[in-house]
Amino acid sequence: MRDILRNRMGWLHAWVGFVGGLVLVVAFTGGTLALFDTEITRWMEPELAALPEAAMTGEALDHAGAQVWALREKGQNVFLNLPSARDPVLRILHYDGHAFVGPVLDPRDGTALNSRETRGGQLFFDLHQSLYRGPVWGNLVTEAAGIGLIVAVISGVIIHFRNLVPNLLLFRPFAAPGRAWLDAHLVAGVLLLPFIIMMAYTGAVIHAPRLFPMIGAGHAARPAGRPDAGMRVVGPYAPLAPMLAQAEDIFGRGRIGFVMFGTGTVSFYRADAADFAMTRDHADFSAGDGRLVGVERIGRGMPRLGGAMRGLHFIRWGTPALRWLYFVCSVVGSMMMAAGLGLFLMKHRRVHGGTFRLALAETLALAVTLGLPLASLGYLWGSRLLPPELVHRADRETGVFFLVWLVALLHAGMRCLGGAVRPAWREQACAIAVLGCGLPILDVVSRAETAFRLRADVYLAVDACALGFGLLALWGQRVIVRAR
Amino acid sequence: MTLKSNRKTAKGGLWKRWLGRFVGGVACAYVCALGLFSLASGHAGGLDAILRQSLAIAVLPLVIVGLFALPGRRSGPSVFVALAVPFLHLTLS
Repeated sequence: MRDILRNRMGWLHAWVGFVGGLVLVVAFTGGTLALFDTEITRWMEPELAALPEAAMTGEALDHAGAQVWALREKGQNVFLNLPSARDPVLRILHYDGHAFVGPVLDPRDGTALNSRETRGGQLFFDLHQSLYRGPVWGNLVTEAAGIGLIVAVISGVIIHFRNLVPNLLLFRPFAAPGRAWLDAHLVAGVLLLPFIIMMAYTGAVIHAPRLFPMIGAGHAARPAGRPDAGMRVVGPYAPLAPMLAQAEDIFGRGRIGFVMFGTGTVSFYRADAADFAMTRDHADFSAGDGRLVGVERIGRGMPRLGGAMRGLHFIRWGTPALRWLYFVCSVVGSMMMAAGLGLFLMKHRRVHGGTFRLALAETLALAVTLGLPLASLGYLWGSRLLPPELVHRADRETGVFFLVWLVALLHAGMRCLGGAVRPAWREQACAIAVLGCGLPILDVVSRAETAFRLRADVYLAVDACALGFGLLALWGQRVIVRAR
Repeated sequence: MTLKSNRKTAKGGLWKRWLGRFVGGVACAYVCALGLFSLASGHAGGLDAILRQSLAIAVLPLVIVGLFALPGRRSGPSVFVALAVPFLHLTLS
């Protein structure tokens, strides 16, 4: 091999792509599922399926406020999430170190609903932004992987620059496996280039303070359970409903997302879905008499840049159609990265076939490519099969996710070290097919006691997606068998 | 046999050189981004923090790829340190 630009870029693309890709497939897949984190959370709370659709009443808000104040007097750092189109219930939430969890309240009267404890879709959000390793090291690794993705994209474009158009036209899905995977990798990479660059760049900018801790504007993440200094306050407290009406006069009707409780103040924050830029504008009220004490709005221009970056990345302002478009692009992006991992392994199998190093690489690639979707489906199965009244249920559910992933890793390790790489891929694809195709049946059976009705809602959407991925895995394992 | 072995040795040498170049390039790019950060915030009325972060994140991968693409067979990672030191000196002064 000669030391020329194309070879150098090839080396950079291959190695940064493979090592970073192992993290990026996890982050991208987690992010893909996190696009619908609220909907997944609702699917994992089947008790709420029976709840009739109703607007929030002032009585419910005041009742919820009284419960929040009572919890804060006990020293718990909680806040109130208001109903929205995506999640039509009131929630008293606190950060447990990985997700915002807490009791669910009826939007009609503010009474607690008998819903099971779960981290829901926020597990995927945490996996996406910090690999479930906390806001320091986890963020740092995903941040570095995000930079690595941009490096891999730039070097990939340099390698294929002259052949970008021919590569797009020459998509041969039924050619030899190596050629077909390369075509798929190139077509997806070129078509999704703007989306992948945008997501990698905005994600990297959002967590930039992790990469440059000595400078920067601080970081939003806070360690779990940190006591809020001076948090204990004593009543009586003004009702929240009149404050909400005033806040809606300022920011617009239905544009308040959540309510934070401070020392002697109550702050109504504008919803993330209210605007393209996530700016955390808020109106502050005196907790004692409900008097408006201040309004904070992020001005136009440069201060909104950070909010615009967040808005582009999190797409909370987007319509369901736009979120589905992001979802499809993210799924294809994850597959493109997985195809890249496969191409790296195919290339090195010719030279290093049978070595421990290659078996290790095969194991890790299989564990992130198929093991993660398998664990995600296992997580959904676990949420319905674990008893609703189980103690520390959210932790047990998360435990199911990581247990399934660990089993997938061990299976991949044993099969790849034994030289049975192709059967290992086929077996994990079969497992995905079984769990994916079986999930709609599990949903129907486990919701039979509550209120199962076939209609276009979050339950049907999650079931359809699981069935779709199950059928895709079934097709994939047949392709593996035929390619023997 | 000897030819194959020599080719393998040469490939291994190239791999190590590129790895060294990559590590040196990443270190240099990080220092460059830090320098840019300091320069942007050093002046009165310096740039907004989020804009500085955005610029630094944009510069980082470009510098990594740019330095990796630099020609020169004998230039080891030390050349990047030599490139980065004056820049760091400039930002600290």
